[in-house]
Amino acid sequence: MMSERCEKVRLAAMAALDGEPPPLSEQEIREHLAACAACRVEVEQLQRAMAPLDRQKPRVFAQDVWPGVEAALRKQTAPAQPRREVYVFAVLGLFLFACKVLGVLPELGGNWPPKVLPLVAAIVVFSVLKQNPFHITGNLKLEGDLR
Amino acid sequence: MIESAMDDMKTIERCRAGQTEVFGELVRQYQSQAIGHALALLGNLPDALDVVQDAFVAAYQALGRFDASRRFYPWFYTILRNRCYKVLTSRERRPVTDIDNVQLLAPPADEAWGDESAAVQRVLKELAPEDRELLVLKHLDGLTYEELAQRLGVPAGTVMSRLYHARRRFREKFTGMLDDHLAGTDE
Repeated sequence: MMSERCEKVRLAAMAALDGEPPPLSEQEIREHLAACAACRVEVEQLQRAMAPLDRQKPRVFAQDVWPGVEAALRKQTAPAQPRREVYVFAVLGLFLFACKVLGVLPELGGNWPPKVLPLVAAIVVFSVLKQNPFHITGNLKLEGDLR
Repeated sequence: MIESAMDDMKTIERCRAGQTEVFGELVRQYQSQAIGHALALLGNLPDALDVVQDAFVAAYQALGRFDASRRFYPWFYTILRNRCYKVLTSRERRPVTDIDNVQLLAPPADEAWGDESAAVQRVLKELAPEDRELLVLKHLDGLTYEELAQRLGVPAGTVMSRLYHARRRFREKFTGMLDDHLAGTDE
């Protein structure tokens, strides 16, 4: 039965060989290995046994899962949205609803803020979140054959 | 590495903006690695392909929770790993007997190492999925203890101990196989 100290040294020695900071000092490891033949042999054998594994490379797989992923995603309508943005849009929705309610109240009818504020709020929110709902880009795309 | 993390982040931002097709770039970038990892856990290619596909779909749906300061693949790996373990658990209830003889390793550049590569492949296949996963991540992918700890969701000390025992089991099987081979050639 291996002692607790032996197991600790073996783990530390393997960590040191892996280039990791060992839980024991290098001197402690060296001293124990010099005095304990069983641990010395164990560490040497383990190191040697890993060499064939270290010479291997992972296989590159040619299978393409994207068509299957894409088909599954197309069935689902909701695009991935960060939760933060969901809350912002919920607040915007409530705000627009409140503006609409205020706009239809007869005593406030004709006032301009309820009509303009929703538009301003929408522009601000889309700018802050960097959304581009109309996909407007600066790239010019020529269509048709120009020859 | 930093460049790749930045690229991942840009791609993810575009996905979050609703450009589903951009997610294909991430899938194609990481799918081979993901298939290898799923195969290491499951030991069966059709299952591995199904799980990888499901995991990418789940990852897309969870992109909103992705922390942009992290890299994509380690985050994705936790999703993939959970799904692999679900399949392994269901196999315990309903054992699968047709485990494929699928290669996890690339063919060796030098044919002289072909036997060694085949022996390593056989030993990996005989190991428990947890040992196989750990050895593949450490020796084939070259992850550090800290990276392994993050991937497996355990402390670095546990990684050190598990790795030590996985290596011992690998050595026992590998030397056993060599002894059998030598005994066979002596006869």
